[in-house]
Amino acid sequence: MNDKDLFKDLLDLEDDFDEDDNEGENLEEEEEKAEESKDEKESAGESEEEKRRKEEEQRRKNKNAEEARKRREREAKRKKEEAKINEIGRQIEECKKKYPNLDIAALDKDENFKKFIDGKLLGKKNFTELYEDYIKLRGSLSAKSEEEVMQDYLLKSRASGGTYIAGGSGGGGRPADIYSPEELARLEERIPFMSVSEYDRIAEKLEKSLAFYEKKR
Amino acid sequence: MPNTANVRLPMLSQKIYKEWLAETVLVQSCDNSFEGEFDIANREIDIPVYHDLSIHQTTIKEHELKPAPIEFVRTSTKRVTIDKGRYSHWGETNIGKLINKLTANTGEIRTRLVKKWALAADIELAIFCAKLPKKQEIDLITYLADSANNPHGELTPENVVKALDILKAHVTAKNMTVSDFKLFASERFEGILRDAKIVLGSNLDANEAFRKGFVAYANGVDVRKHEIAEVTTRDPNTKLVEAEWAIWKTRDGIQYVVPYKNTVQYDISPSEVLLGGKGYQSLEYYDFFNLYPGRLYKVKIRYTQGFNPPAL
Repeated sequence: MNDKDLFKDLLDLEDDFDEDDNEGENLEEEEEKAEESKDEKESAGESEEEKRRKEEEQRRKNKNAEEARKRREREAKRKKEEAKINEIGRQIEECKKKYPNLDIAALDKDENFKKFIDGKLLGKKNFTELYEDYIKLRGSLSAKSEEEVMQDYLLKSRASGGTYIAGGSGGGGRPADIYSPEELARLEERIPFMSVSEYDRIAEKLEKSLAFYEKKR
Repeated sequence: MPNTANVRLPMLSQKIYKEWLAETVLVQSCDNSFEGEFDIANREIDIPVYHDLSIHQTTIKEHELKPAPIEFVRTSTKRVTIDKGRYSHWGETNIGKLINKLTANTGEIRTRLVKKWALAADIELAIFCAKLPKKQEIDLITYLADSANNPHGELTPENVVKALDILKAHVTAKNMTVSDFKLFASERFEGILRDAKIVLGSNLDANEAFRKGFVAYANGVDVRKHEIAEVTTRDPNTKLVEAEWAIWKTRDGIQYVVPYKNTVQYDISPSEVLLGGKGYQSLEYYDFFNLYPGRLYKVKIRYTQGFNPPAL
C-alpha cells in the first residue's frame, strides 16, 4: 500500500465532487425545460420573441459563469486535498527514516492509534511526534516500557531479530522478568516521584533485577 | 552493566518513607493520595477533592420521573503547591558502605532516622492542628463546666461519656458521620477512659489493635493516643498531662502528601572533609492541607484546675 493512502480516512477530505456534478446536470435539465417552454410559446408576438431571446442569452451567460466558478472551486479543493495527502505521505516517510523498522501498516490497522491521532493529523505535531506520544501514552497506561510497546509495531522480520525485549528472554542472557539497563536508568529517575502503591508494583521485579546485575558483576 | 547503586538510593528513600509513616499516629491517619507526577520545577501536584455528591429525590408514578437539574461535575482534583521539605545527612561518603548500612534490616541508623522523622512529622502536624482558628475549636472546658459540681470544666471519669457525646453531637449536627472521625489525645485521656471503666474493645476490629496508637472504641468513638508533648500542658514536677489540645478529625480532614522522596549526592568541600568528597542526604518534599474545615477540630481539654492547653 502506498504511504499516501494510509490514514486517508482521518483527513477531512470533502467528497462533494458528485454533488457538484449533479448540480451541473440539474442546470442542464433546467435549460432543456426552458427551451421546451420556449417552443410552446412561439406563437406569441415578435417583440415578445425578441425579449425572450435576450433573457435566454442572459441566462446562458449566467449559467456559463456559474459553471466556470464551480470548476475553479472543484480544482482548488482537489489541489488542497492532494497537498494534504502528499504531506501525510511525506510525514510518514520522515517517520520511517527515524524508525526504519516501524510497521506503518500495523499502525494503520490499530484502531486505538487512529482514534488517538484523529483530529491531530496535520495539526501542530507531525506524524512522528504523534506516534511517539502514542507510545508514551500506551506505556504509561500499561506499565510496559516504551520499548516494549514499540515492539508491537515492528516489522515482523525485525521483531524476531531479538534487538528488543521479546517474550521469554530479555536479551543478552537476561531473563524476561529482569529490567533492562535502559529501563533501570529510567526507573532511577522515576522512583522518587512514585506513590507507595506505584512503587510496590515494581519493587519485587526491581529488587530481583538489581540482585541479578550485582551477581553478574 | 547498570549502576545499581544509583538505583538503590531512591529505593532507600521509598523504604524509609514507608517505615516512618508506619511509626506515626497522626500523619498516617491522613489522606496521602495524589494524582499524576510532582512538577518539581513549580512544586505543584494534584490532590483529590472529595466534593459531596448530590442526591436527587423523585417520585415514581406511572413512569413519571422528575428531570434532575443539570449538574456540572466539578473537577475531582485540586492543584496545590508543595512548600515543605525534610532531609537528613548521612555520615558516610562511600556509596557502597552507605547502601549496605541503610539497607540492612537490622541497621540502627535507619531505625533511628525513621523514628525521628515520624516524631517530627507528628509534632508539626499536631501543632498545626492546635493552631486552628476558633471556629474549628470544641471547647470542652466550657461545655463541661457546671457551677455546682465542676466549676472549672475538668474532664473526669464521671463526665467523659458526656464529653464524647458532645464531640459526636458536633458531627451529627453538621450531617456528617461519626464513624468517619477519630479522636487523638494524650495518655491522660486513655487513663480517664480506663478509670471510667468504659467497655473497651467492644467494636474492636482485629486490625485496629495493631495500628499505632489505637486505644479503644469508647462510647462509639475511635480513640487514638499520641505522644506529642508540644500540644499538652504538663505538671512541672510530675510531668503528668494536666491540659491539652486533642484532635478530632476525619481521614480527609488533613491531606498529607509526600510526592518526592530521594537520596541524593552532594559535594563536600576539602575544608569540611580531608580531600573533599561526596556526601549523601535523604530528602522529602511534602505538605499538608485542610481543604475541609468542617472535618477537622481541635478539642480544648482540662484535666486539672488551673491548667490550660499550651498557647501556640
